[in-house]
Formats: sequence, structure tokens, C-alpha cells
Amino acid sequence: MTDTPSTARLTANEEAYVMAVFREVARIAARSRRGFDADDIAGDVALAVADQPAAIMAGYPDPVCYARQRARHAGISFDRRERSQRGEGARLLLGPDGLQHPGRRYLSADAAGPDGGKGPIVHLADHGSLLEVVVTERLATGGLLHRCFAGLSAVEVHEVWLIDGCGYTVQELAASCGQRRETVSRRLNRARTVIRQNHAAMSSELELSG
Amino acid sequence: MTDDTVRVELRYRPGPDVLSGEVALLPLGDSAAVTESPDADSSFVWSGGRYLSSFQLVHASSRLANDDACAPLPICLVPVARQLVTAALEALAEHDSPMARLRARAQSTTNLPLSALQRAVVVRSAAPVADAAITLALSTSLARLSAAIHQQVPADEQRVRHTDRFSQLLLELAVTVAHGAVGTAPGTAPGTSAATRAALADTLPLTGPQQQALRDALRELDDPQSWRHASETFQLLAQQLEHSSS
Repeated sequence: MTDTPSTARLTANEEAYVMAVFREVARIAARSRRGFDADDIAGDVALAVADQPAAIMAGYPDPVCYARQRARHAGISFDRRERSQRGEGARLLLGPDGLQHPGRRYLSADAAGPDGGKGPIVHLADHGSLLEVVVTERLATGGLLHRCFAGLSAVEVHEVWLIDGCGYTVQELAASCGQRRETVSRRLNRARTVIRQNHAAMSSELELSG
Repeated sequence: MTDDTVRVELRYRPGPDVLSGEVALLPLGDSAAVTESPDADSSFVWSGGRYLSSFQLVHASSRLANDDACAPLPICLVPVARQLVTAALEALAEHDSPMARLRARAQSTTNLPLSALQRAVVVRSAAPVADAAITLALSTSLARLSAAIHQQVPADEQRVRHTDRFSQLLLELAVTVAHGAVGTAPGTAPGTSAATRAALADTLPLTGPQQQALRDALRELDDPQSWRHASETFQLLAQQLEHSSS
């Protein structure tokens, strides 16, 4: 991450406010995040506050209240940025062998899967990925994912998987298939709605049968 | 990572005084991780419920000064963390820019035996939970004391800075103690209370006996059963300060 040096001068009161915001966001984020994610999220929020402390302090005299308002959205923005970085291969993850590997765990385009490449998920999965094995097993045994995808075209399933499963951005996907970002985004929204409906129907079926 | 040792990465932010750490354990899957928050100022993630995976301590420097206040942080990590915190604070003392303080980040890496990062089996009695009315009274009295101290007008700039910082810490303590973390019950905040005690100085507009009473009451915040008494002390001190300034 590149930090742009700020020329802002903080008063002692503003500095205390910014540090209090940092601490509260860190407290909140640590409940659901691991490693240094909470620290990174808190740092992002604190730097944003330091850019315009007077305006924020006027609206939110209590730093804790402000931090609680911002923490959720800050977490979402952080995830989006991380996903985007993963798409560019910028983030390294710790692999099962204890070494760092590029964050993207999946092969793009038409790479063959371990069993010759059948099905939308196996088709795209990296051979060595532990996650792929888990997902494939779940898919094969339960078939629940297929029921969630009912009514969607193969293209839509691929897009949902690439974006929500593999961390590609809509922009990347649109560029790779030569379409406008808005077109892919619209198709993605429709696919997600269908999946939610299928999932809700399936859950109510399970509740009735259980 | 070898069979016996694991790499532990520590990161300390001297400005907001937050220490976090990450242990390079082999991934055991999401379901195997257990997140534990013994109080509002600390959070620990245990991989498989057994080995420390990551942690965070808020107001770490004040907290690390007290051996008992860091539990359940594995004891082998405490000296490494202290060294990092001390070095970072010393390095930052040379800078007087608030933005530099905000951006400053110190990191260190160490290898420790995996067995030393095992979660200690401690039989704890259920933490007492304060009555909602007492919690509210405590929070209100802390906020009132914060406002009373903030309204005092010290003579020089250094005193103003100390007074502002101290009243800000009291306010943070009021909110943190009352609400705990988001989605959790009210609870203790030993890091914030320790930092507030550490910020008590002669430069504050308080007499000697008032400072002592305040120090004792702040210590009582670490035990919810003493919150009623602490609340009364804060209320009394706020009244005295309001009286003296009117």
C-alpha cells in the first residue's frame, strides 16, 4: 500500500481524537479479523480522519461513536481492496508448506482441472489448492451449490464464481471477456438475486423437512 | 516454520498504542479458530483452540508494564513485546509531528517454540457482570469528570496538552466500560484504565489527595464488583472540580 504524505497539521485535541478513533476501530475489527487486518483497517480510518479532523469532530464529538459508525464500512472497503490486490497477484498468502505464495489460488481461462476439467468449479481450480478439494467435495456430496445455481446460465455461474469465489474484480472480468463493466455488473446482480432466491427456497424446504 | 519453532511477527503502533501479532501457523481451517476477548482491550485468536494464531492489545505499553495484565498472552511473548514497544516509543520521542506519530509503525519478528504458544489451561470463575444501572452511573460519572477536568484552564501549553489527553482518556474509558466491544456485554477495559492511571500527572489540575483518590478509583475499574464505589468517587471529584471552577 502506498501512503500519500499528508501536509495536515493536527492540534493536540485533534490528535487525541484520531488516536481514539484508531483504538476503537481496532477493538471492533479484532473481534472478527485475524492477523494484522484489524490494524490495517484502523490505520485507514485514522488517516482518513486526520485529513479532515475538524469537520468530523464537529459532526461526531465522541470519537468512539464515529469509530463505530465507520468500522463496518471500513471493513468492507478493506476487503474490496484486498480482493483487488489478490486479483493483481500483489498479496502473498501462507501456503500449506509454510512458504508464501501469490494470493491468486485459481487458474484463469480454460486451464484443465485435476480430473480433466469438468464442471464450472473444478474447471477453474488450481491443482494444489486445499480449498479446491474442500469445495469440490462439498459440491460432489451435497449438490447444494448446483441447486443454488439453478436457472443460471453457465456464463453466469462462471462469473459469480470468478468474482465471489476467486476474488477477481468486475472490471478485470469485463476486460477479459471484452464487455462493458456495467454489462457484467448487471448480469452479476441478476445472478446473485437468483442464487439468494434459490437459497431461501432451499432453506425453507430443509426447515419443513427437518 | 519448523517442527519445533514458529515465526511470530509483532507490529506496534506507538501513536495509538496498539500492539498486534501474528503467528505463522499452518492453516487449520476457519472452523478451527477460536476468538477470545477477555476484556474490551484485548483479543486473541487460537488456532484449533490450542495455539496462538494472532492477538491484539490496546493501550499495550501501559498494559505490558504490569505482568498480570497481559494474560492470556503467552509469557514468552511479553519480553519481546516490551522490547519492541520500548524501542518504538524511544524512536518516536524524537518526532514532534502528530502525523508522524499516527503513521509510525514498528515491527519485529522472532522464532519461538510452538509449545510456548499453547493456550494455558486456566480455570476461571465466571467474570462478574455489573448491574446495568451501576454501569450507566459509572459511565455518566466518568464522562462528567472528563468534562470537569477539560474545563479547567491550566497555565501553560504543556499542562493544556496533559489535561486534554487525560480528559480524552477518561471519555474513552467511559464509553468502553459502558458498552464493551460492539455486540458484547459491558466489561472491564484494563488497558484503558492502566493508560489513564499512567497519564495521571502533577501537571493536572488536581490536588494530591484528589489524584490519589482518582488513582484508586481507576484501579477499581478492573473489577466490576467495585464499580459502584468507583462511580461515587468519580462523581465526588467531578463535583469538587465543578465547584472550584465556578
